[in-house]
Amino acid sequence: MKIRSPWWLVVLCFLAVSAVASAGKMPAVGDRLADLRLPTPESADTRDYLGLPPSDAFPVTAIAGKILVIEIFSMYCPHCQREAPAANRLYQAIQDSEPLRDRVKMIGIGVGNSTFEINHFRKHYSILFPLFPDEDFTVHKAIGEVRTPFFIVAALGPKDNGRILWTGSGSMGALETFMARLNDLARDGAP
Amino acid sequence: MKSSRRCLALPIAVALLSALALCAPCLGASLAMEGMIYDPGPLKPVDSELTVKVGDPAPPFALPSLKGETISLERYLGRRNVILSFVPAAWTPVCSDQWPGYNIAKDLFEQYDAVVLGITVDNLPTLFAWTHQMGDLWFPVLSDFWPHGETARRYGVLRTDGTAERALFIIDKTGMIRFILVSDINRRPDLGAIVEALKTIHATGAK
Repeated sequence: MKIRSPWWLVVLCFLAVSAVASAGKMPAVGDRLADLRLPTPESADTRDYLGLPPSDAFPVTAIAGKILVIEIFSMYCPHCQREAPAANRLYQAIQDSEPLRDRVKMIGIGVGNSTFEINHFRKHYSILFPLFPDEDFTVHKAIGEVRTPFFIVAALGPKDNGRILWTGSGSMGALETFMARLNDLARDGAP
Repeated sequence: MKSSRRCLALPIAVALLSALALCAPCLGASLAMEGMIYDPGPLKPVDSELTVKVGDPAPPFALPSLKGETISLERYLGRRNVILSFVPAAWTPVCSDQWPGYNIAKDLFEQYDAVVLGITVDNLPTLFAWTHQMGDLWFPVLSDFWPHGETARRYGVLRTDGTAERALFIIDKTGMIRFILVSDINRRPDLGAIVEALKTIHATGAK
């Protein structure tokens, strides 16, 4: 009996393995941030805050600063809705802090959300920091499909290049605790 | 024989790859429902045939709501545009993350004189427990449990397993269907598409 591997089965296995391999793992302290590319904001003020030149898209590690806080959220997630005022207070506290203002940047990524949906979330909760859509779940898959909300704190700059310093699932916790953490990390990461 | 094997190869390959592509985003991502969602895996995107089309009069219904009322479509005639949001079933992925989004879009809908009616084929106790996890929903949640899925059937969105499609119908103040969107059951429809349709209906419909 002649045994021959059908060509389509080989191709299918390859594609299946590729699909599984492309799914990212959950961010962990010490890892590098996955290669997350986001659409460049149209607003010049937002590009200025993030230190980005005009372009179509950018990797999150290109954001200017020492530390990046990312909130992974969804407009459709009740916990993210409840967390929105707290996330706003965190951004405001960072902006009000002389040592942190230029060193720490903060963004939100709306998994499964369209541009319309993140804009509605921004308007509904008067969100102060930049939000980005992840309509086709590309970012969500790259970071291990974490549940929302999820917070990532990563080190920026050519040396650290997105080294993850802290992660947290669910509520960001007390503002004072989060700010103390950022102050410690900014101090540790200082040249 | 060889050609029949080849005929089978393509659908099998497509089915497997579709399942791989769908498995991630079909899961409910919110912590609010963690540990409570029954995941049936990727489902056939659409499993029913519409019995109505844009321009038809909307089939009437009267269904029990979570607040203890019976809500009929008729009560909104001449007063409000109505968004019927059918979702497949309680405690399933995607559905559990859909209505909480509409919960913060009240102002968008009201801007166009529209109300949302959320409908599933579940019974009221199940809907009570499920929607309780979403916070307080501002819109009526209706049970199309008995006769099972009768309203979904009249609109042609009752699936063969007794659940409903993930479907949206917008009915204007004259009772006419103006917009239909039967989504892939594994995907959530974009809020922007609903608002865009409402804008057109509001601009061209009875005030």
